Amino acid sequence: MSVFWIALFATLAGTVIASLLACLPGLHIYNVMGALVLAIIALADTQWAIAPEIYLPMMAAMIVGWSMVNTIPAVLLGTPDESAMFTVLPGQKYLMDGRGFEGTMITAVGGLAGAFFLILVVAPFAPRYLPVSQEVLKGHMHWVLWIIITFMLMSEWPKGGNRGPAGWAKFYDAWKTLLAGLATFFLAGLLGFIILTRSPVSHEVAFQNIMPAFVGLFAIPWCLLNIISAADMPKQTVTKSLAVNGDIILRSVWSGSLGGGLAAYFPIVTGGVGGMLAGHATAQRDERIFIMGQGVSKFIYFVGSFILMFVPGLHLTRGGGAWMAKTLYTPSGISDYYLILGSIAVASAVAYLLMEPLTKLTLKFISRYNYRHVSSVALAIIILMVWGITGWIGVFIMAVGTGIGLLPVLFGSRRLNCLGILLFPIACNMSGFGETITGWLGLT
Amino acid sequence: MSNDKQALPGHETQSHEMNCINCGRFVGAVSKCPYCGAKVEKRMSLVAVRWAAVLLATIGLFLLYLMAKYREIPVVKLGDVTPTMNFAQIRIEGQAQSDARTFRNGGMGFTVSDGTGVIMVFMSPKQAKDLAASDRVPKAGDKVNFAGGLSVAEDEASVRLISTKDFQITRAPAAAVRLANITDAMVGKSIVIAGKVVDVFPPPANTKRPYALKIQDDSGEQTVNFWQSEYDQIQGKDVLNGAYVRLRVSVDTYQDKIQLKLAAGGDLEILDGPPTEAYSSPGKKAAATYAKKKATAATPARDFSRGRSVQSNSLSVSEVTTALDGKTVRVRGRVDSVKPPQEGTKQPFAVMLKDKDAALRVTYWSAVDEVIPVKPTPGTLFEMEGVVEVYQDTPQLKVKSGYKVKLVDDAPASAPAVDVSRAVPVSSITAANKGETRVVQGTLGVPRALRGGVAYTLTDDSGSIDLVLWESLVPTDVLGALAEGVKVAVSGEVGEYEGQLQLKADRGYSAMVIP
Repeated sequence: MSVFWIALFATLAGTVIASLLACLPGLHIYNVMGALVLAIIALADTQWAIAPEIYLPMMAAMIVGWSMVNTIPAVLLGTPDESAMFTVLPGQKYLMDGRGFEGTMITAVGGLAGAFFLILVVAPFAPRYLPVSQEVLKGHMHWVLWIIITFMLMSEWPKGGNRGPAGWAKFYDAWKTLLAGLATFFLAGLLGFIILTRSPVSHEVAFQNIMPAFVGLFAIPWCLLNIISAADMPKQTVTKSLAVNGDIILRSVWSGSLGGGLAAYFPIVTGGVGGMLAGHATAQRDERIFIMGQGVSKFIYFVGSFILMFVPGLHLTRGGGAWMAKTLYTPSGISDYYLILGSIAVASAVAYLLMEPLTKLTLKFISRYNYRHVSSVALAIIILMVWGITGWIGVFIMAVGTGIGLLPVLFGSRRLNCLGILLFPIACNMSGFGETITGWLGLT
Repeated sequence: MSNDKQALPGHETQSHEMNCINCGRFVGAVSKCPYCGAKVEKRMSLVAVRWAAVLLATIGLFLLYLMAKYREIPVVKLGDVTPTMNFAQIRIEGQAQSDARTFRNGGMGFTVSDGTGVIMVFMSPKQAKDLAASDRVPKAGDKVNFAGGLSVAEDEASVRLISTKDFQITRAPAAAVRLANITDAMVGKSIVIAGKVVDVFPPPANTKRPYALKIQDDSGEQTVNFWQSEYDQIQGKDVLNGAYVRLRVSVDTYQDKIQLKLAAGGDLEILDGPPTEAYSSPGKKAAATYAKKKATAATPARDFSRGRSVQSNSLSVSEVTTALDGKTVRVRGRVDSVKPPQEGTKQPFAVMLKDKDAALRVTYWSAVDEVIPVKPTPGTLFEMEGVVEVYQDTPQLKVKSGYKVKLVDDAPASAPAVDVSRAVPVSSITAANKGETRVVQGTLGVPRALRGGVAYTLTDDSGSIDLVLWESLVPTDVLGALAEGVKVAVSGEVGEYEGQLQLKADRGYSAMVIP
């Protein structure tokens, strides 16, 4: 069989697998890819060794399929990953208005628009301009990170304290969310210092040592909250058209690509942070642009960061997917770049086509089964996965992460603050004083 | 809840605490309505969860912190490193295979072997500074024990030092040796030398050349090279010229000549007077013998990336034959040509290494080229490590890692560019020849150190002329070969200084010692 057909089948398989897995709330594709990497390494010296022509397009397709289809649990089950957090409020609003299907499909259209933007606009120019920009920017990343952190913390606004008599009660009311945000950021930062300096996870599976903390910070709090709050889902309507037009799509691509692009290019900056920055920069007020822009942003963040590794002359490793692929393969030349771009284009089309039936299927499923039970099953799967890969130590880290991840949810501050787990220690390390802080903490 | 506003359409089926009591909108778990700001009463369960979360976050984090703080970082054999260990924090106990070298950004790196594999260790500029300040910069042969963060990518692995605090180092024993007794057999080892500093040549401005310290003992003379960073660390460097010193240096080769390298300023000690210590005490002799035996008996280090035996010394180009097919070797040669891949193709980089008449084709992929710190250019001397492959009965070298492509010398290898047949008598040079190039040959007089160079009086049968050699123009190894009483041929430009004619040596290998 020629390489073309091998790559095509691998792409299709990766897309279908990822699209199905993406419907499970709380399950991140990077965790699945971690298991895939383990399998590839185990088979490397056997007759069943998997060739790069199979696993590279499959990995690309898995990232594409997941970043597109994961909108379903994010909107319908309220279990978004960090990068989809902005979609949640408007998305939940759509869900509560019985328009969950429409909200999901608008986000998917955003993902498809993101794929077009990435393949037709970014990819042709990337080999020429990105290496140059990287050369210029690489010495400046640390202060860019600090500016982003400062903006993130300072743009959290007080949500109370504007009514009632003056006094400590009013002061606490005003500062409650801000303090919760700051506490979340610094507690997550401390957790990050511990994990990045002296991770208790076994060194044998160190490539997944941050995973339990991420699951705890982002996935578990939503499952728990769904179980506790037990909101009932109103009857959902499946429509045959979406209330979007070309203007909305273009404006969504503008804001979403900016956010996703920032997140993909700058180290540690994730889709959520990129989305926040782009949201402030482009100031798009339309709810539909907001939802669709998040679809674009999420796609460009996950898929774009993976592509960067294959851009000739750049080979930048950004995002968990690229780091995992790098342990298996070092891209070389334009051929690999075309392979990845082709796989992404095919996977995007297939994933979008799968969106509609999968959304309908999920709606049918959650109308039949109790929302609380679905969340309970998702929670069990997530805990089992963490235990299976990292053992009881991982479960303990996940529990601590859950405590921190629940703070912003329960106190009404931004969940983005949980990203302090990476932003804070890595900004310190890049600025040259990370070791001083770990020294103060007695970790080094 | 009798005053609760009726839920908006579509929100009726929600639990009443999920909707705002004031505007009727769905608000979920928050206690203040994001739309109208009204306080939303929650049942006890959410309040309990809220404070349970705070408790879990703080107590759990503290326990995790204690656990991490008191946990021993596992010692891992380099041969056991697998890709799933990427990002792991591991402890390495091994022996430095090379002197630590300083990078342009001030960071440092060295290779370490633990008998099962070899790995590159990187340090940040701050860590490099800390180690230099505490005289713990690793040198070849030193035993080291440290914790590092592992980075594994395809067939390459490296470690980033976590902290200098627990970086433990045991210096390899170094034998005291007379300068005349330094031989090729000592290459790769550390030795102690002592003597009087005859001269110190700082590197010319805007060049990458090292400092050259000329040292003399009763047996002979040698030049010790080091960089600005090491010079800055030397205590009492202002009185170095003419001082008696003791140094611990590593022996290396440069252009087939012995080169002594000072790895840290702390390894140079200024003595109060001539060294009185016996050069080889029985204890030091024993230590040196032990080190020699151990080096002979030790099994060859295993190259981490390939898992095959690597020769510790590099081969010349002509020594790479088809018999080495499949073997990992280190080859040293001059770069004859560099052919990058054509755009749009998946070709590798192709470099031709030459050594006299022998040639060797070296190939590597673009990804490898990315990490080569100093790219090969025609004329430069490089050392490359890779696997020998045979193509059409001709051996070629396939390099798998950019870290295995190292610049040895960036000066083109040219035979001394002095055509002795063009030599003219010194007395024939007059003021009318100012600005013209002349070749002379004669005997050098007493050297006079200049700021950025050295001057000699060159005498032949017809007369004398001042010969000026600037370090910015003449390579260090040429300068190092010159001394009082040495007969030389020099090509230079005629000039005048304070009414005296002088000959300014041309750029490059313009002075040649005549046997």
